[in-house]
Amino acid sequence: MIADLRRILLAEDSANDVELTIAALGDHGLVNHIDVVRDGAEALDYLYRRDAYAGRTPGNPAVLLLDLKMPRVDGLEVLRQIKGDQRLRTIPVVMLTSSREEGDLIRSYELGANAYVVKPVEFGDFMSAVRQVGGFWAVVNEAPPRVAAG
Amino acid sequence: MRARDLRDRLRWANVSLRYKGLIVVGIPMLPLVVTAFLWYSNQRRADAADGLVAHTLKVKAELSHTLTLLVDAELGARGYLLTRDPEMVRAFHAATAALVPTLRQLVQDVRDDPSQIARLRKMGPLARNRPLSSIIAHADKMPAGSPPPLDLLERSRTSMKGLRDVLQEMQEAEDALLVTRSDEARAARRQGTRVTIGGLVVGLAGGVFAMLLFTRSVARRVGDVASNAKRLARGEALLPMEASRDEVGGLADALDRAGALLAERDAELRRRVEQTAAANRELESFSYSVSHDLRAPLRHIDGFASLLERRADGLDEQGRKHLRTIREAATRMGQLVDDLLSFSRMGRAEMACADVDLHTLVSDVVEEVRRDEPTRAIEWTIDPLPPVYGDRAMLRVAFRNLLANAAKYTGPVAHPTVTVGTLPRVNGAQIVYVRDNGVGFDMTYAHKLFGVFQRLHAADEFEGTGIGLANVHRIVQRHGGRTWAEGAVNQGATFFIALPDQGEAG
Repeated sequence: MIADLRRILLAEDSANDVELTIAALGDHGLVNHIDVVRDGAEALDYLYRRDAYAGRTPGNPAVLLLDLKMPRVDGLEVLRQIKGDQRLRTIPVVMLTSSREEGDLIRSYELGANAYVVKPVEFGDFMSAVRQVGGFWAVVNEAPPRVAAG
Repeated sequence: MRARDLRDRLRWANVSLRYKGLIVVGIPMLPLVVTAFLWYSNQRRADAADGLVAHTLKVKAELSHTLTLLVDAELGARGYLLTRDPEMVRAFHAATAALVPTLRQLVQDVRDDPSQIARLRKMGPLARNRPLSSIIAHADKMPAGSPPPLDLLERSRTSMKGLRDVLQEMQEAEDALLVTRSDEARAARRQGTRVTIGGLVVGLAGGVFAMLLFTRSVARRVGDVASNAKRLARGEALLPMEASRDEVGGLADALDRAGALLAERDAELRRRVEQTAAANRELESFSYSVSHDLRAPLRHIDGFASLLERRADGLDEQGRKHLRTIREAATRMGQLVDDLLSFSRMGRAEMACADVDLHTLVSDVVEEVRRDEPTRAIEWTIDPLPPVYGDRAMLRVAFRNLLANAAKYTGPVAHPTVTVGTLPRVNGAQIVYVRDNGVGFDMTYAHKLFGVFQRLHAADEFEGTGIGLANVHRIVQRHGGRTWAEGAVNQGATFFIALPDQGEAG
């Protein structure tokens, strides 16, 4: 069953957050299914399989965990492009962010985010949040049929 | 330069209202006054002419009287000659005696007229030549029936004729005078009437002209200024007004300046609002940064301390305790950041005001607080609460804070009670209070109660960040209301909020 799992894409610029997220997902046995990109531009490269990601295995990730605030292209812009593209719009996008700003939340849902999770300060809460999100989208949720990009 | 100054000052628009008024009243008044004067002088002329006519008539009467007396004397003398009746002699003497004062009066009355005087003089010799006394003497001397003294009678008739002629001339002269003097009086009267009518017409025309002048130069401009004042009051742009230096011009100028000042203030206000908006945007982005940037490192501290805890086999109990403290501190700071952000949001959030059923709202919040700590046996009393006008969500946060506070600070008390009630309205404001019998506070520090992160109790005695009452204060303030508190150490506390009536929230 695990062999069938598609990949989780984590777009996050903070190395610490990447490490903590991986640690949380690691408890779920999902470690080897995580791809990490460090900003919005890289995330789009990954999704469109261009430049550094031209050679990756085709297919959309099972879920995209998207940080809001990133260098170069920010999370909202990535979200806007994904939801505006026929081939990518079915990818479940979970906004995973520190921001409690109402504006960000409303904007994200307007652009078509599937979920909005505020990273809790407390690690225990953070772990369970990431685990639930990762587990739900990567394991429980029935993915849409493959319509790969590129 | 001086001449131009003078000309400028004399320009009608620049004449002050007081003089304008004088001129406007003067224009119809002047012809009327002149008319009155002319009328009066004509009247006097007519009166004088009338006086002269009367004088002439008097002289004519005297002339007639003189003639009568002369004839009477003649008749007396001749009658006596015919009848020897002494009565006739008496009549002669009476007429002769009356003739003297009559002639004296006549001389007196015509003394201003040399031609009449000359004629009068001619009468002297004629009168003296009359032989009336001789005729009477002749009659006394001669017996009745003797032949009459024909020569005496002839002389007497000739004199009498001369006298009659002179008197006739004088009558004719007076008649001529009478005609000219009557004409003169009539002419004076006619002229008086003409002058009066002319003066009235000119005065009336002057009145119309003055009214037009007043309307054009004062009334219309005052109307313009008034309409501009109304525009100013409505905040509209002013219409241009004629420049002038009288009071109306001064008013118009002042209005212009007021308009300019208002526009300036308005611009200044806009600038300030713009600045405030900019400051708010800055605050927004600051809040955003705090939210994102400050929470991330806190999460990392807690996260890595937690990961470290998992491999804590190498650590002794003390080391594990330190790790726990690190995690607790990070969590608490996260709480503080969250509270601060919610406080800032409370200050910026749009208000949606409506009538709020306060009683239901408070009852719901009490229910919530009860559910949070089901083991507490607090005696809640909620008096009937009136509806208030405000933002339901914000008011809910305020009462949530007040009631949770009451529950918290009655913790150590054996029989905790919390009462929510109202006081009579003050200046139209609805006053609601929350009273508890908890640990209370020292009134000395009452002013610190509603400050951000101000606490009157040690953090480990009662948990909390100290944002709750600050939120209450801010919410009530945004409703245009007021908060205050009363209490004493270990004798409970009462928190009051005064909410104004509809329309003052902002």
